[in-house]
Amino acid sequence: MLFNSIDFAVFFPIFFLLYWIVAKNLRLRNILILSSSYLFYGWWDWRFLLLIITSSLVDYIVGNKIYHTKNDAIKKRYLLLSLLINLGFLVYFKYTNFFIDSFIKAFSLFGNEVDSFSLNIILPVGISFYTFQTLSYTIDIYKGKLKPTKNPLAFFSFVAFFPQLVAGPIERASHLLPQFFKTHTFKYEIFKKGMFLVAFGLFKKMVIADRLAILVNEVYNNVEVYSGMDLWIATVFFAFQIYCDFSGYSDIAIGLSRMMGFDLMKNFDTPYFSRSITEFWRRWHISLSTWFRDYVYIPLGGSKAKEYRVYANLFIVFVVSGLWHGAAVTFIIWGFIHGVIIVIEKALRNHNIMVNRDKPLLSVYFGIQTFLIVCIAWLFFRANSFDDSLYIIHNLFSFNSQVGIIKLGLAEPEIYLSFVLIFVLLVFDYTHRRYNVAKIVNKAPLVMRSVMYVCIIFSIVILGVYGNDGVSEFIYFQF
Amino acid sequence: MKKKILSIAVFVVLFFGTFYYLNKAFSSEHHYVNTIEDFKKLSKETNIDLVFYGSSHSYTAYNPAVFNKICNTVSYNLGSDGLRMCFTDLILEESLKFTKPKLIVLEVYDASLTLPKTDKAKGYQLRALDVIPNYSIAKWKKISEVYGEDDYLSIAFPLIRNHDKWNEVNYINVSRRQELDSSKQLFYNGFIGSKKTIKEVGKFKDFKIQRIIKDTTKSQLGRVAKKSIQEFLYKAKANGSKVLVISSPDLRVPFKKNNYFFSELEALLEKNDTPFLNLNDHYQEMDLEVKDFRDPGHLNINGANKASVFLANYIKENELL
Repeated sequence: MLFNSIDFAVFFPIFFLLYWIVAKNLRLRNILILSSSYLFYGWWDWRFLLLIITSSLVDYIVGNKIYHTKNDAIKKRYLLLSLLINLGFLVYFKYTNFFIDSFIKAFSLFGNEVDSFSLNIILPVGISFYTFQTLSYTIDIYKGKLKPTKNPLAFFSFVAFFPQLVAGPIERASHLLPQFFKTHTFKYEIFKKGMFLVAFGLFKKMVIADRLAILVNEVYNNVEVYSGMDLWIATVFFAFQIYCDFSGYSDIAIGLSRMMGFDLMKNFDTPYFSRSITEFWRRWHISLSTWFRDYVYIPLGGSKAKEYRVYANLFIVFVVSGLWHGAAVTFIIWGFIHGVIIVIEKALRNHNIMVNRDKPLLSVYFGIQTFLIVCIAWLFFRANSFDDSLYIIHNLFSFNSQVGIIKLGLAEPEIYLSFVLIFVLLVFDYTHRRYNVAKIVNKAPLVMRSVMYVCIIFSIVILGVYGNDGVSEFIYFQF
Repeated sequence: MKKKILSIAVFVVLFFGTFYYLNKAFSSEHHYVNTIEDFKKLSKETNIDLVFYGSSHSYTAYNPAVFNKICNTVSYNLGSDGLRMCFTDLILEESLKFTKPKLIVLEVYDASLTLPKTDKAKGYQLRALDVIPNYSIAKWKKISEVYGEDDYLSIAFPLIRNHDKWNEVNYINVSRRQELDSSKQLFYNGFIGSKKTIKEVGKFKDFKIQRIIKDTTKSQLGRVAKKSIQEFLYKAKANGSKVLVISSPDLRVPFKKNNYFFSELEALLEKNDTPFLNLNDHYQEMDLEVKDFRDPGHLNINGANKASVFLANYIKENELL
């Protein structure tokens, strides 16, 4: 079920009503959350449920076994079992064909021709997200940071919690799991804040991201037709498309959770105003970057290792992050670019030759520089193939396009609207860096606040792009 | 608590007010808006005794001015573009809220009795469906037989249907009446008389003598068609109105390989005690020429005058009013 679908528009109000009816009864409430989450997830394909149930079951049992076992070697074995099963699912469903393809290509480099083939494997929606979430639970217990729960209902609900199940934020058990043991009372103020986030998230997704996607898809699916400015526009548009798409999803997830009395972690914090790639990763997909920090970077030695080892650790984290996003060379290159720049920035800081980026003019300069680097990296992320990404790189600076901006898939008024929307988004984000916009909105006079809500709702209805089948999927669902 | 209720009330009022306005603003501009508005206006002034129902074959062929004069009555044409029989009874029901006609004339032809399958055909039905309130259960029952669930919101609300035309909408003047060009057409009580003449004159020059009826065994009147006609007749007669079913002159009819349709229709109507008049059998009496057509399926203003005079006299002679 997609947040921007009619199905969900019917599902959520019914769930919401039932939720607050049974809210005081913890057991009933968690049963409702779990059954609704399975319904939400099974809407795509009921067979996916078997995976999430298996994953939950394994980590519930393993978590308890690790905690109650005194022997470190056995503890380690249990942890390995959890890693093997969870990562095994992930690798099988996500990377099997990639590895087969890479294997065949590697063989052909040595002159051994192998017939190309691939397995017909459907990638279960959100598997990368809930796998990381359940893994963090087992690893935290293993490290002694967390006590396992004895309540399977709460644990299964924590893994399958539908607002953040398919695209995050990737929650830590220490933050989200205890919330399944608390009764929530309906608070109008919190409900209002949740509503604002949901409305704003839908606006970002349906009005901005899906509109920009039309142009981006046209150019990136036919790269050979375009060059120079067309490619730049499509790449910049993609930067905003993926931001609005993914942060829109996160806003909706956080908003829905708030409406239910749950608190989810922040996932985006105005990333395109970052003045360095290091800062960018503190503001982009925060739940994933902190996950990699805690469960990959630090176990590798983190910043406490020797200088070159730290650089290597950082680099590994970003390449793995690229691979997490998708089973393709283009994603690895995307991670590679970020890794290289992060290492350079770390080296500059270590040797105290990093320019102070806080001064106003330098701040603007480095802001633009960071955005351009991010865009170049996005180019690989979005390209349909490695060959396409090379073509784009070769043609980015050949400004002899015969096509023209109004022939890139969007009608003239839609192009103007797209630029206006990007500008509005930037103004909003800039304001949000200094002030909490949601707070300002909630403190505004009654009529003004209502007018604003009505404007957002009808902007979505009128300016929203509903997609060919009525709804369009979120980009991050494929990861 | 009072504050919360007030804030919800303000929001609800603003939301529905804006929705109502935008739904109007995003409605399509077409002549059926004029037809319905004028019909309601006229029905407030007087009872309309004779009402025509059907498709464009109806509103291009029967001029109420002619009927008013010959039959000394008040008449109106409620034909709508491409309207299929399955939805026509909804227009009948809606119109009966405003007037109580003595005679109802239902215009049908073979394609009008089929369900709309293409997007274009389905789109035409919306002109009429927009007239029927969304709370009508009958409307949604019919819609569920023709349209998919994904279309329901678009059907119910022009705002959803036409949202992507946001840059073409006139947000100030929300009247969706169409400005009709009197140099090209005549508009009167739902009738639109075209001043155009058919281009393919040669192709149809033998239309009065051409009669090729081959396959008379293949039924053209399916279960859906029969059901739709019977529903219409039931509702019309329940209102105490007489019903006359007609088929308009159509240049393609004499050239069709299977005209069993008219015999089947006549037999069905006979069973239901309803007279049927096929104007395609009366070209000579009407003195109809090829140049009396706008296109093969529709009469122009001259042809409409001839057909209207003929039909009005038929109604008068048979004392149907």
